[in-house]
Amino acid sequence: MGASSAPRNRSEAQRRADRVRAFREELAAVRADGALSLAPEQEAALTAYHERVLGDLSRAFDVDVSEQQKKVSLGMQVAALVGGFALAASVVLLFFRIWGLIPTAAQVGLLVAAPAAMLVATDWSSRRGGLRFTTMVLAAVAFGALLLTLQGLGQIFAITPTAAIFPALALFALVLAYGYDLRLPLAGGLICLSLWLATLPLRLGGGWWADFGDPAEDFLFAGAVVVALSFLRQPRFSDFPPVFRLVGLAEVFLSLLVLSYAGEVSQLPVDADTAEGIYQVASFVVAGAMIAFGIARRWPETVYLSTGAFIVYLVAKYFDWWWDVMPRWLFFLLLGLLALALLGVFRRLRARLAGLR
Amino acid sequence: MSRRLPLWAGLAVILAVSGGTLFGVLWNRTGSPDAVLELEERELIVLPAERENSGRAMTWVLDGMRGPWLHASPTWLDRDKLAALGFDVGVAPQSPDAERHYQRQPARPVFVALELGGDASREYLAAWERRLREDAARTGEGAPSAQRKAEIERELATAPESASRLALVDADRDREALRARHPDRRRVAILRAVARVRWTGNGERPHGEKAKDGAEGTEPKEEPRLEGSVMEFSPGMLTVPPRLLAALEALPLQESGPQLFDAERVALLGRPSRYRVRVVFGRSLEPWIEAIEPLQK
Repeated sequence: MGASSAPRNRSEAQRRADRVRAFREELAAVRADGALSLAPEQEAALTAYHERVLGDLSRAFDVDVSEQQKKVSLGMQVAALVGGFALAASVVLLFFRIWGLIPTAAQVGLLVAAPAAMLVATDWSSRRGGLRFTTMVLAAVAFGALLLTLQGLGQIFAITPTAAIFPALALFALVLAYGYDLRLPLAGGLICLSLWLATLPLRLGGGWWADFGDPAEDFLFAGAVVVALSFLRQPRFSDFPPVFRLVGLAEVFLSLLVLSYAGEVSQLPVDADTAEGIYQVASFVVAGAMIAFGIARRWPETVYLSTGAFIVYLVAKYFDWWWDVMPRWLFFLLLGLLALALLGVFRRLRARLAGLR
Repeated sequence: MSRRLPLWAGLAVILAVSGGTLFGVLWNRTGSPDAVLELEERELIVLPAERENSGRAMTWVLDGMRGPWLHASPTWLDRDKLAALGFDVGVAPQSPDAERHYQRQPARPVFVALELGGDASREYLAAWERRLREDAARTGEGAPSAQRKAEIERELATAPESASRLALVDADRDREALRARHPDRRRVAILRAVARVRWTGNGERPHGEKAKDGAEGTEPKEEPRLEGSVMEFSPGMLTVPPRLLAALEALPLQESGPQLFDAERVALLGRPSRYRVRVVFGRSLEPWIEAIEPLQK
């Protein structure tokens, strides 16, 4: 592989492998149609070059080089996610099962050593070829172990809980994400960062930090900041900005949904009903605007999430307005017609999305 | 990026977080403590054991309440006190804007004073005994059964020795000002907690308050009013250090099970305390159990 075409991270490597596979399939189709014929030595050289490229990519980045491999990888990703959570939970539960039987110094030693040991294991795994999913699991356990450290020390020494736990966890998760090119810890880190951001307005106003989310505008603010952070240039991690947008927008859309139905948790200087009305309008405007923005910026994940949010808002409002006043048959008939109308809208959207790919 | 950088950066975060936390513990536990209280089982009960947790913890009993999530609405937490704690109480409870105004008031971190064996706990106990006697003396439809009467008599007889002597007596945003008002460090401990203000009206009952028949929900009742409450005491519970667990092992700890814990009684134990606990409140107001000794009574 030439230096100019060397990928900088796993997602670039995967894209290169996908291109090679698509090229080979198309070349086979062109040859079958008789539109092109290569000299045997040219064909051999091209095949050898692609085999070398795929071999290098597979060794360096553990990429999927076939469609079957991709499907298996998806299953492995789900298994890694479940495994990561399960093992992290196991570490936490094991500690609490035994901590009463060991002296305080040993409790502290275990709590400090656990995340360090899991980090060393994550690092070791990341250096071994073909252990991408194992690395993901170990990183999740390392994160869970640091959470246990903070929780355990807090419980042993009756430490006053503070919002500082969130930036500490976020920083560790971001080290795991950027250090080992993993999106799961990135999402975890961004959620911790959001929780900390959500405490800021409360703490600045002299409020109790643990009441973050009440008012729900705090999460609106946090989500908006996370979305804004996706604009930071990070060329070596080209598949990270979509994670920023997914986490940030999910927070924004959820906050808008809550505020649309619980105006009393809003800080707007209006009565609760008016606040709900304002946020109902805002939720449609924001979801619609983000669909348009996602199409314009060629961000498929933004378009999908915003479309999902738009549908949820629409169905929720439809239910609110008509469930009590309509006969059931008419309610479902109109819901069906609404779905057909949405299909028409999405058909046009789909045609535009084809251009994003 | 150097291939070792993520490992070193991650280790640095772990060390900084753990080291910072442990330094805070060291700071809290060195120097002169803020207070030292000699509590008994009636003020600090052992939480029920859990199958998945080999540690044991104790929790506060005060003003007839107990548990890590206890909240109190003392009578001294009136409108003036709420204002002193930083709440905007400028809107009258009867005002049409009151509900929305007080809904928007965030909870505030405060310092609270817990007094051991003072007038406040004695007054609380006296009021509770008065209510019990009134219940026992009730005739007609509301008259207690013979079994309940016997229970009341038992509770009244054991109350002086089994009711908590710990009471919530004051709160402030300023720790030093609170300590200046309560200088006795052997009788008054200061803890961090959270204060809230709540507007009640339209028949809505204040948080945790039940109707006389025990039902939850709403019912027509008095004028709209403000209610202040203190909750989320920090810490809500104290872990028993493993080295002190032996002192508790001699006791039948199963008596501190859920039945006892859920009991709706001020004289919670119904018997004299079985242990005394020396609790030290450090410089950062984070308490720890220093000693546990059995009580022979």
